[in-house]
This record gives sequence, structure tokens and C-alpha cells, in this order.
Amino acid sequence: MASVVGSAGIDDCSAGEGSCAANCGTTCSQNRYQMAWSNFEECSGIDCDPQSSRPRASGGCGSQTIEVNQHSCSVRAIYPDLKDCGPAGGQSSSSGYCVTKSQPIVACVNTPAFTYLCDSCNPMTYGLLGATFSN
Amino acid sequence: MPNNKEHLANRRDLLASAATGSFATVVDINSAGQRIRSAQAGPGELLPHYVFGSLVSATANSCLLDAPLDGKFIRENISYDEDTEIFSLYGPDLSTVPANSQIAVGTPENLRNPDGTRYATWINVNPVYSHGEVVDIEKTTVTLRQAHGGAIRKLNVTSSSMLHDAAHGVENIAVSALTPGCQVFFTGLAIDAELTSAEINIVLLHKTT
Repeated sequence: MASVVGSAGIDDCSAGEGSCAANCGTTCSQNRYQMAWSNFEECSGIDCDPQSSRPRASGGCGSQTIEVNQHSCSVRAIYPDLKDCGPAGGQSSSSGYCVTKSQPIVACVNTPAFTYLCDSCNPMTYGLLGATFSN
Repeated sequence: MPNNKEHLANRRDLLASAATGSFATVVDINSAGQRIRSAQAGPGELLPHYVFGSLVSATANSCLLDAPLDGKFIRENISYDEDTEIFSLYGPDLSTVPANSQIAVGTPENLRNPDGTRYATWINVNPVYSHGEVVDIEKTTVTLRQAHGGAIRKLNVTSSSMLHDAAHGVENIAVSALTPGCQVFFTGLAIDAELTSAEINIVLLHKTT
């Protein structure tokens, strides 16, 4: 089992078709769970830290649901361990909750998945969510 | 808001309870002793806690959306009230929002109306959430190359925008603290319903490097 600690950032598909390339090349869906984490290439050179020392999680592909993948790319579970990374709503800076002041973004999730991870929070005022991803 | 004793208004309490495993209604323990959360939707069903769709019509307390799913559209009626958090450039009354606007709605499964329809705890009109690299700053406009395709965005800093330096733990930074080359995560409201259009009013921006 591999795990990675950092923040989950939202990829909301608003960049248009192809913007979910990290998710097994699937078409963006605004009403299904999609995510990518750990050692995935999409974030290299942006602001994510690809975890090169970690094995790729099923090719870096995400799952259609949190527990059970309904796509063909992987049948993996992820186990998000949520942390509140901010001193107040919508802030990602540290106030004793996170390991470091700034959690690297190690996972990209779409809006439904992000909202699910933070129990129906409004992503508009969250932005980043600390999480440990395991597979 | 539908009455529900389990509704937790404080997100820190909520996440703290999740972290300690006391989040019994949505967190379970797998065979490896890890906490897992389950939320699934069957084929042709929308997710229980979230709906995204195009606005068909709206009144002062409900809206009708066409939600895309698996190549089809599911029409969903969602109620809202004064407790619903609404981010919209058109104000809090959705009846003033143009049809075909893109709407994202949070509908916790434990807050259904008595007739089983969804109740919205939050509604975002024409929302964008993403990240990318700053390429230019001019007064209160940040030009950004968005990740995932490299589209150029014009991000407007308004009087209600929140700018934070997540990398250094500094809150409420000035626009001048942003420089070309820095990475930012942002949320905002697109000026029109074409979410790939260029112009967005910033709600929240994190400078991450």
C-alpha cells in the first residue's frame, strides 16, 4: 500500500475537454467522482509535487467513486484522512493542524469528489483540503 | 433548512470529528483498520450530495436544473432558503439568474425535504475552481495560465476577494504580493455561463509558491 500526504486541489474541468487527462483520459464529468493522486505527471511543473519515490497508483488514475471505481482504469479504493489545514474557513495556511505550513498539492480531484471529501463543504471558500491518500 | 440534529455547522468540528473517526454516519473502518467513506450512485443516478447542471428556471425558493450524466440530462428540482449560502454575481435570488447559467449545488444527503427532494446548503452560479501560473498583473487584474490545458484567464480582484499566501501562512495579502511565475489556486465566478471564457471574479485565491 502506498500513501501520500498533502493537499487535494480541485480540477473542475473548466479548462475544457481534455482537462481531466489525469483521470485516465476520461471525459470530464461534473456529476461523477474523478481524481488523480500520488505520482501523476499532470502536476509536475505546476504546483504539485509528484511523489516520484512512490509507486504510481494504478497509472495515476483516479476512481469514479471514492470506494469503487466505475471506470475501467482501476479498481482501487482510496482512504482519505482529512485534516483541516486552515485557521479559519477557506484558508490553507497552518494553524497547528497540518504537518507543515504549506501542504503540497499531491492530488487533483474534481468538484464532486472534493465536496465529498469535506462532507458537502462549499469548495468556493475552501480551495485546498489536506488529505492523506492511500491505495 | 430541514431540521436535522446531525447537521454540523462548524466545519472544524466536522473535520475534527472525521479525523478522530467519530464520523460514524459516513466513515467506516475497512479490514486494514483505515477509515473509509462511501458514497456511490447507481447508473443513471446523480450523486447524493452534489448536483451540477444548467439552470432551467428558478423561483425565490427553488430551482430546476438539467444535470448532465452519461450523455443524458436529469432534471432535478432543488429548494433553497435564507440559510443557503449563495455565490452569484446576480445576487441571492436565483430567479434573477439567466437560464442556462451553470449551477453547482451542495445537497447533503441528511438534509432532504419531507417529500424527498433535495435541499441546498450552498449554491454557486457559474463557478470556477482551478490553479495555474501567474503571467501578468495589472492593477486589480491577474492574468493566469490555467493548469489542465493552459487556458489564459483574467482574474478580477474585487472588494470581496480573499487573497492568501498559503506558502508562508500569511492571510489577506495585497495584489502586489503576486508576481509573474508564482503558482496560485483560485476559486471564483465566471462573468458568463461559458465557464471556459476568460474573465472570472476571484472569491478566494491561495498563492502556493
